[in-house]
Amino acid sequence: MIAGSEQTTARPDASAGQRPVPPGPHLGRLRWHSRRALLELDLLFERFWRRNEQGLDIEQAILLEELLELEDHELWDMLCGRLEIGDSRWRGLMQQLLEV
Amino acid sequence: MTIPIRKFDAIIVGAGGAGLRAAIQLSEAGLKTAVLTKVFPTRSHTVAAQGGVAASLGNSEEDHWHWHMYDTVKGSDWLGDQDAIEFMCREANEVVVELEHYGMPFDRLDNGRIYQRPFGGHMSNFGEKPVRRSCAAADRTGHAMLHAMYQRNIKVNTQFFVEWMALDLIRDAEGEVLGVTAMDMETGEVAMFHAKATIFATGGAGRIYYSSTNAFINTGDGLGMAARAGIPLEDMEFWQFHPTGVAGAGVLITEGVRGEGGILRNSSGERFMERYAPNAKDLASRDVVSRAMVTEINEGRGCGPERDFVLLDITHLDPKTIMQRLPGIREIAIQFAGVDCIKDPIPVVPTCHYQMGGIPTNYLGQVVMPTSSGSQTNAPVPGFYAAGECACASVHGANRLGTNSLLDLLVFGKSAGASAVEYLKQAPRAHKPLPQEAIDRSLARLDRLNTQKDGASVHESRLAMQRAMQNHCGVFRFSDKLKQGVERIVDIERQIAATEIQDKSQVFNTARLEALELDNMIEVAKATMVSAEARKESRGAHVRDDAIDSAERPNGRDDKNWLKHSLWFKDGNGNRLEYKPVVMSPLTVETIELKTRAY
Ligand SMILES: Cc1cc2nc3c(=O)[nH]c(=O)nc-3n(C[C@H](O)[C@H](O)[C@H](O)COP(=O)(O)OP(=O)(O)OC[C@H]3O[C@@H](n4cnc5c(N)ncnc54)[C@H](O)[C@@H]3O)c2cc1C
Repeated sequence: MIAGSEQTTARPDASAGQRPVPPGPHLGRLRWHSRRALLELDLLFERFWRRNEQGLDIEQAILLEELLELEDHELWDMLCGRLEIGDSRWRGLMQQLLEV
Repeated sequence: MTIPIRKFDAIIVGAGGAGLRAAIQLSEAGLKTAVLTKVFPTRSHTVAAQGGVAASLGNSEEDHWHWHMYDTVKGSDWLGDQDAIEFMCREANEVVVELEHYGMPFDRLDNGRIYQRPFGGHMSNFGEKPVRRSCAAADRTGHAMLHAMYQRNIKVNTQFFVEWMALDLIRDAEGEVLGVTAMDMETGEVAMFHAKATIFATGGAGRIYYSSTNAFINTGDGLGMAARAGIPLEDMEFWQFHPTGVAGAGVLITEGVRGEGGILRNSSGERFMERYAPNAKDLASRDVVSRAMVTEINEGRGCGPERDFVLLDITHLDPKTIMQRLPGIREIAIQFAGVDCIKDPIPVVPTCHYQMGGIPTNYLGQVVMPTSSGSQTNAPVPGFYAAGECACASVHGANRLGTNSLLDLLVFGKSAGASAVEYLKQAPRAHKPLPQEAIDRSLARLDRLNTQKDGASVHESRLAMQRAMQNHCGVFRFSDKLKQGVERIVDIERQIAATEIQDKSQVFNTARLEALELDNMIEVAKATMVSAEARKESRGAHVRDDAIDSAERPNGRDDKNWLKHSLWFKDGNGNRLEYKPVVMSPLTVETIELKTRAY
């Protein structure tokens, strides 16, 4: 992608209900976006993906995409409870990321 | 096979601190510049840097670039090139002030000037006492730096190709560099980025070790690409280890924890640093602490079922102090060590942190290598530049001082950009013809991955490499282990030449990306192991058990035979080592003469 241009990868259709988002282009993109600048986050996402190899729920994929837009330090601080979570919808997913 | 060709005056691979600084220089000169990056620029690893950037501004107390130069030469254990070190320390103030003008929110003194704090190894008056030389933006220095420079690049119209992975460096028969092949992760499309000047700023390769403080992205792609194109890698045996990475995870526990009273203990609960450094104890320098920890583990006093880590104990501190003064440490301990550090100590091991070696450059950021006739050791490779952790200027020599790396990015990012601008002024208007066979070789590498049958797993092969590096080429190095390590790495290299991926899809295929990264990592691992086995002395971060400590060779450093840079060449399927002299003459001042490095 060239910065500023529209991303063309197909996104899941939320109206399709709770159908899992299977491994494929969309998940591949989310997986790559889970590569972060901080090792702490890399490790949490690595664990998350190991547990979700078979795919994500639509809602989970949408929320994950939002989380991945955050700055690394911001995301880590929210996970550590040092910064208020930007959107209460993220809480469940953050909990999953922190599950040891 | 033909692939689309995109033409630019200059391309930069990498959008961390070094790449962004180089891009400013080129775009400000009005040149058509493209920056390729695997991840969004502000997600580059530079974001992780907290400590600060060194510059002898002297805002709080007297300071001088010459003192900074002395500290850097001494820190490098005299392996750093003194021309490049003088250049870096002299330029420091200017690049830091420029960064301020790009909008970097440095911490400030009441009088509005940049606030500076002390940092290990930085001293006043040629090693007399600590000096305040580090400029920081809270504990977000790297993050703030990247944001300021990214915004500046947007202003001067740098074109970013985000999520494009460079695959191979393209050189013609005369050795001139003409750009890179690269893959758009979103479509799987491969294109040739044809340029008159190419700058590599791809960062470090810390992930070649099993235990590393580096994020997953640090896979040494620039080094792998350079090595495959016949460019040597310099001083790859020198890696800095941070004493306190969380065992098994690598996450860095800052020195601040020991600063607040954290104590290192062995399996019997002993505060062992009292034996190794009776005065500084747990606050001794990084290499002293790391070596003490490894000695404890090697002598059977490590902790855990495998006795392979020691403990960092802060259970005696007031929980309030932990929460207030050491933010994030409790979360790190819970998440990555599975302990609550208020109640239990944290398992830690010395962990790979920073790569001192890299693609050889001079202080102008030009990539240099010996001529085939051997008449010159530092002949510029036409059209090729490198800066940042992937490059070896060489300012860090055998050991880097904290905060000198961010400075390196700014100074040499700028000088590589400026040199490319000069080169382009004289370059012919037309691009040189592309060598099709070099492009075909790159495509064949991709094709091999698509067609490989009964091959090795990428994950298993990477793990084998990481374990071999950790076990055979860690903090302390043993002659027999290094020899076995070379054999082991050659075996693993063979395995990696036949990796297989199950998923052959085109769009965001992370399996393919990881396989391509591994092709680069193995070159770095091999260069490291072979160069380390060959260097029969101890110097800076390279410490061998068989190096003789005598009056002539203090701490095992053998200047008579080893005051020289290693150059590792990939040679077909084999490899070879050459050496070149260290530049002992600075640009304008007297040589800083050899001395024992003691703090
Ligand atoms: C935890 C930690 C803390 C640190 N703290 C400090 C500190 O306080 N002070 C200090 O001076 N130093 C510090 N360092 C060291 C310093 O942060 C790094 O050396 C420095 O940030 C490296 O910058 P860079 O520009 O060379 O590379 P990076 O910032 O790593 O950027 C590399 C760029 O190259 C791109 N890239 C790589 N391969 C490819 C490819 N094949 N195709 C396309 N793009 C590619 C990446 O996408 C990225 O944009 C620290 C290091 C760590 C690990």
